[in-house]
Amino acid sequence: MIRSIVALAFLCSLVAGCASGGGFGRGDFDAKAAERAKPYLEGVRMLDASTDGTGASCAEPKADADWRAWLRAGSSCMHREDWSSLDRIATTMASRFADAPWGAYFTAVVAAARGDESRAYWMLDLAEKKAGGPMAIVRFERARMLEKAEGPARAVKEMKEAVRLDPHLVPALLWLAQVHHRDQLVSDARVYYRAVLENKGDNYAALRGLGDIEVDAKNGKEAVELLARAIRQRPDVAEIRWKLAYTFENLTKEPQMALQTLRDLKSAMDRGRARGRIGADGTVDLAQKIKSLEQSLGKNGKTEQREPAQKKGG
Amino acid sequence: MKFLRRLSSYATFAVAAFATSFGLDLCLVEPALAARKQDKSIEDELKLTAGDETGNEVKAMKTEILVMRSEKKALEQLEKLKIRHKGTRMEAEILFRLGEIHMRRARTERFFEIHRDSTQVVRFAPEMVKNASEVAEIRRAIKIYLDLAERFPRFRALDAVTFNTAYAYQQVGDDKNAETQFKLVLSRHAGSPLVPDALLSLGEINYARRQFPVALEYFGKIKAFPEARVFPFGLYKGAWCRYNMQDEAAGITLLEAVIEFGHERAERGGGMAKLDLRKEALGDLALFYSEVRRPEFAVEYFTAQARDLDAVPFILRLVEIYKRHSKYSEVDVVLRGILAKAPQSGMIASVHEELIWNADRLKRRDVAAKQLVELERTCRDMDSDQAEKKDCDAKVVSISKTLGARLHAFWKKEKSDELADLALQTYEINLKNATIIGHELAQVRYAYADLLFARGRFRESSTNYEMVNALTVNSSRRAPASAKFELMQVDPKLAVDANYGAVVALEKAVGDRHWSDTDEAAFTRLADLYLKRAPKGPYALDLRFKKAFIAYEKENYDKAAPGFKAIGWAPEADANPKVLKAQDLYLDILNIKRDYTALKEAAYALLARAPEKSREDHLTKIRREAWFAEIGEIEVKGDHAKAVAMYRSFATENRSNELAPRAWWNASQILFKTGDAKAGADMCAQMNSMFPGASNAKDCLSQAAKTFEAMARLDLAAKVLLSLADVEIEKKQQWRELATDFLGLSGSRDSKLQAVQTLVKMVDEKDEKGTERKAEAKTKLLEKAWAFARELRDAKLMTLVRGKIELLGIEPAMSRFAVEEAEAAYAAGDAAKAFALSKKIVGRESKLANDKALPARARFIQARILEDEYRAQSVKARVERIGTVLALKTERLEKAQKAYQSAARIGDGAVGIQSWARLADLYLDYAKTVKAMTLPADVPEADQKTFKAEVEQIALPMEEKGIEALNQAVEAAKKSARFDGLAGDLQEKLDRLNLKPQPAMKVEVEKIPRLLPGFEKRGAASILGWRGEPKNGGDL
Repeated sequence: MIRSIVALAFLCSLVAGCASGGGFGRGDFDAKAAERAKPYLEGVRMLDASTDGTGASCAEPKADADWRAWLRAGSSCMHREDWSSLDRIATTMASRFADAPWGAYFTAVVAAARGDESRAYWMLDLAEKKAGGPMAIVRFERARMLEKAEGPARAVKEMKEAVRLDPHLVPALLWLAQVHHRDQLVSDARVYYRAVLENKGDNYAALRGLGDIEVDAKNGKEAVELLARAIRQRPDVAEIRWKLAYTFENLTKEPQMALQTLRDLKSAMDRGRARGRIGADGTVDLAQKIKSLEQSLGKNGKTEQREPAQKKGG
Repeated sequence: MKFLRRLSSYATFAVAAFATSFGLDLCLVEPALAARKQDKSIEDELKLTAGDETGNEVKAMKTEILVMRSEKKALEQLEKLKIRHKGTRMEAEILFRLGEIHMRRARTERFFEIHRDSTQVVRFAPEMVKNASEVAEIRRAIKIYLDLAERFPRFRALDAVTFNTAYAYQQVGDDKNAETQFKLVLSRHAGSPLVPDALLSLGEINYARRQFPVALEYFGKIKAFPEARVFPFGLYKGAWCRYNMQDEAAGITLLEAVIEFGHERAERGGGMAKLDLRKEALGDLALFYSEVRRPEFAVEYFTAQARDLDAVPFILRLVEIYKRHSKYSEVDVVLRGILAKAPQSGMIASVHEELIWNADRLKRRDVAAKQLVELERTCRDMDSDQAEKKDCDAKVVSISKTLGARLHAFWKKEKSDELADLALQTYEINLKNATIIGHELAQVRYAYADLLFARGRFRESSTNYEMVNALTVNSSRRAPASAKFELMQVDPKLAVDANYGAVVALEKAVGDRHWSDTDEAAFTRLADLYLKRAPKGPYALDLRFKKAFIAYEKENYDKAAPGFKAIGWAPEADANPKVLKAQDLYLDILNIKRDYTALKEAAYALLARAPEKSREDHLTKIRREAWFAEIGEIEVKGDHAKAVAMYRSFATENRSNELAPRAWWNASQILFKTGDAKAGADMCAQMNSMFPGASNAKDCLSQAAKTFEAMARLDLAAKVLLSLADVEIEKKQQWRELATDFLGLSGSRDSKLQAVQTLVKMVDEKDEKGTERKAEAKTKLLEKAWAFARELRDAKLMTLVRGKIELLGIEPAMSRFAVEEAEAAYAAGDAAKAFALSKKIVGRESKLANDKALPARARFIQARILEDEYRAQSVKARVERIGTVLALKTERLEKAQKAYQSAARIGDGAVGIQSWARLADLYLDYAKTVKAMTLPADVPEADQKTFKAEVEQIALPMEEKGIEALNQAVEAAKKSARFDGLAGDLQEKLDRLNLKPQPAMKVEVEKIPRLLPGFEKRGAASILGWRGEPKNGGDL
């Protein structure tokens, strides 16, 4: 709602002679602005604040420092959630590097952090206006704010726009995959998971999510491959190992592999290297299940299948 | 009169002669005279010196004093002799001598009388002057003469005594006694040689009395003495008597006799020149002739009368007489007669001259001019050794000068071209013939140039004006200039005026045409000469100005500029228009040369000497424009920082001037152009306060607002927009609203609070056209206010905005508030309030066709309350009440079911999904509840079985309905793409109901991380992909 209100509050939409040649709205950008902003976008990448740091100081750079130094400082403040410092840096950048979108972007981040949503949205729009076109990072930030304020349904559109702009934006792809998966929109979820894995093949959440989907779809072979890769990333998650055993047993019809997986799981759990619920309601007796499988396969099954199972799981 | 003076001299002479003839030596006088002769030094000392008037006066006085001393001595001796010889014959001689001495003394006394007013004479001999009396001496003489005649009647020279007595009486004006004495001479001394003289004197006395016949009689008696000295005088005076008696013919005859007598005496010779009255008679004959004879014959007549004498002077006298009587035609006839009959006359030049002036008098100026040409020719034809030639040439020069001046003067009155040409012709003759380089020639040359100027012959005029100062004469005709003539020393005014005339004529000659280099050089030469001669002359300024102006017109600015500056910056420069013009042109040259710095400084320097306000304003304007242009030049050269500083300075110093806002604007635009947009915007933001009403204020403010907006400085942009609202009145509300939006978005809590209050206030304000805002506009304002208030989490403000919305009945906001309140009430457990509020909204369903979510949510709340009532309905009961309880439970189920179905049907997807999900829960719960119902243990087993079967019959379809509703909810959830996990939750629930062995795993959505813009570093973990580099770029 706030966005719909403040979207009107752009001077360019009211003043004749704006670079956009009249009414300015989102999606209607100025090519000249893009030209002006180009130097300020070259070489800029998006880093995940949850995993990456900028390594820079949050302190204001020297007066004669170039825009890159200011961008690094701003990102650092953002990472440290030092909003006061970021606000000062944003203000300076918006003035000194008026053609760059970063002043407005940082201002938006500060506003969002302070709960001033209308200002945050407006500043994000301004950032794109200065960039002369939509920016993946802006759309991502907007989606983040929408998801927090109004729920994922409102955020999905912005997030999809973010990945359209940057198909390698893993956090966006993963989030889209997960929200689609959660709502049983499996085919879409599968596309996003695969996109994540194309960009980051060891992404555990994607491996696990896509693995689940393939299990549900009874694609045993694909499920085994994905789940096995997920276990390599997170061997401590008992539930994945249990699901892999289930897949071996019921979908690929490889009871020996299932048994070996269960034996490994039991060993890991016994040693405290894996934890979590196993089974639909979490009440499965792992030892009993192993025993049941051993009985159905005979005593030798345990030894004969152990090595290959280990090799297969990696 | 001249003749009469001569007669008086003659009388004196006669007395002396008479005295000598009687042997009376002037022995008494002689010693003094002898002393004078002996004393050469005294003689020399008393010699008069020409030009020394004062000295001569003193010398004359000394002489008279010497004479007086001698006379006094003589008197003293005679008085002694008179006493000694009293009664003897000698006494008569002594008395005669005494009378003579007194007559001489009378002359001395007369000297002192005459010089009574002379300072010199009075200073040397005051007593003598004071006591001097000629009459007294003459009377003493008369007394002596009368005493002598009375006491010595037989005195040997009694006729002389009587004659002298008469003469003495005449001297004291006693004509009566004089006449008596003269008559005594005639009557008592008829044989005396003094008789003709006495007759002449008596004639004179009567002539004076205008008793012409009596006088004529006395004069006529003289004819009897043809040998007498006064004989021709008698004839001559007789002619005059006749003339006065109107008998001109007889007068002419007498004059002809005088002339004839003269001719005879001349032929006879013998030193009788004093008796030759021919010239006098011929001269007077002209008068008599003019009265009675015709002019046509005059030349022949006078030529005949004059014989060997030149008749022309006498004819010219006749001409004079005719002139005197304005008989100009007669003049012309006579003069032309001379030309015809006496062309070789020595006075022929005069004849020409008379003809010229006679024609002039007759206003026949062409004839006059023509005659001048004739005169010039006549003179030219004369032999160079001819005596009259010099005079003739001089006349040509003189007449041509005078006639030229007259013609010139007449031309000035009449402005006739013919006159002008005649004057020019005349001047040319003068200039051609002038021999003396001097002032006169300069004057003529000046007049000639003046007339040429008037005739529009400017170039010739200029040349001649210039020649005034460089006088030359025709060397072939003229004598070399003996002395160097400097007109400047003689007549500086004429010299300077001629100089100026040459300049002006040259200027006129050039006219509107382009100044050639030659003309410019000539102008410069002439102007410089004038300025040298009259540096402070009346035209000095004009010439200095023109000199510079010519250069200016020829675009020779380097030459013109110093000239103009010298004029405009001169210490004495005042309010003279030329001075001001010079200043302006100097400034113009600086402007043309684009030397704006110098132009600015020059204008500033001139400001201090501006004579009046309008001039001051003019210079101030130039200075400002130069200053402005100077900055423009600096800007063009790329020194932007300096240009900005200067523009700012200009605008501040000239705040009230129209250029100030332009300067301010230019400075701001440079700042924008050079990348200092903040500074540019700061300047523009001040535009309206600095220069209210400036034409570019709107553009500047818009630019400032846009810039501040682009810089994310919405606080500053808001201020600017409020200024813009004052400037662009037709968009006042629009700018105010935007300014308020910006205030709300500026990041300051106070600003946002102010924005809310303003937005609420604006709802009641009218727009620019004075009309009330439409509901849509009001809604927009209040929704913005509500959004800001919510962000502020300010309950008071929220209440204010909500109150306004509800007061105005603005939908859907008003219903949204009610729904939210109902939801809050329900969450708080106030089911009654929640139900009542929801009921109102459900009732507005038709009004909320575009916002179906609101009635749907309201109906959903009602369904939840009904569901709660259903769940609250217990089914535990005694056997006999089981049916009733089950019926109640079923009834509650139906109510809730209807409510959820109603909520789902309204059309809001989210509410529909939740309604189906809740309904599925209800069905399943009902089935479970019913299936769980048991009968008391004491009920027979058969009945127990029957009851169980019945219950199953009721529960089973409800379970199926529940699963069906859940399926519906799952499908709807999937389709609605709510992405809130509901679809997954419902699916999991469904899987469990369907006893799926591996139910859908609950998907955990990770929290969206924060992304940081940065630069990829080696070794840093990039989110862009595990392969390191993105496939399709990666730049933002």
